[in-house]
Amino acid sequence: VEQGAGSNLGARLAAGEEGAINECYAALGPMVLGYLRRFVPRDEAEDVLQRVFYEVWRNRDRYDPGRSLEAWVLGIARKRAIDQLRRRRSNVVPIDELRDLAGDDGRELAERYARASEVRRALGRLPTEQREVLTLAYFGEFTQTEIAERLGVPLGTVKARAFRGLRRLADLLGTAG
Amino acid sequence: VTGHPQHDLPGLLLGELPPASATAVDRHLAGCDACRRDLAAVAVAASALRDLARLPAAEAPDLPPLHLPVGGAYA
Repeated sequence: VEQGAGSNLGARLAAGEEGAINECYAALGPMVLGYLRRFVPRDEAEDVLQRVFYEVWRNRDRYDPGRSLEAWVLGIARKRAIDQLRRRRSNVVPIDELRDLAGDDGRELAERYARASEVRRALGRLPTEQREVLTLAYFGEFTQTEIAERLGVPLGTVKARAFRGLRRLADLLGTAG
Repeated sequence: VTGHPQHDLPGLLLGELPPASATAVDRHLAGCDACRRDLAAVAVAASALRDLARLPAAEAPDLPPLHLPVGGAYA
């Protein structure tokens, strides 16, 4: 809601505040589940998801509120996904998935998911008109001229909203880090 | 171009400015620290958005309820 809501949530979690784990789950759960499904089958992903957030709650005192909550939670998710793949005793050892998760590339991918979640949250804090223009440009891949036609506003308005939105997004990402 | 062409910076990064405008903005940037800082900030935000858009299944829409073990939640 207010600026710095992300780091604020992390601080409340670390302090053991009641309700913080549910807020954390609502805010980051969709991203963690999207990440887990990339590596483990659907039904297993939901089990791992529960384990991840149980661990987040149990180890909340180990979280440093000065660092990214997303990155910390994703680090836990990555470890639990690796466990899940190693646990399988079938003849089919999921070597590819393990390699994708465990190495440097896996670390990098976890960081991308964490970053993506931060970006999505920052995007949600922009004024509606700015978010609308940026969503159409970067997710809808419309040109600024097309966006102006679609919204029925002058091109100059679209340009101004795009600039203000990106500028504000950069500030939010810089301070949320 | 009169004043600072800040509003053209996203279009410049997207490659959507007409060549003459792009050249004028480029010329302004060469001599304006404030606009170069704005360009850098806008570029960082734009690349973050692009990466989010490219990440497959960055978010699962169907989040199941959270079940913490009994007694574990606020113990």
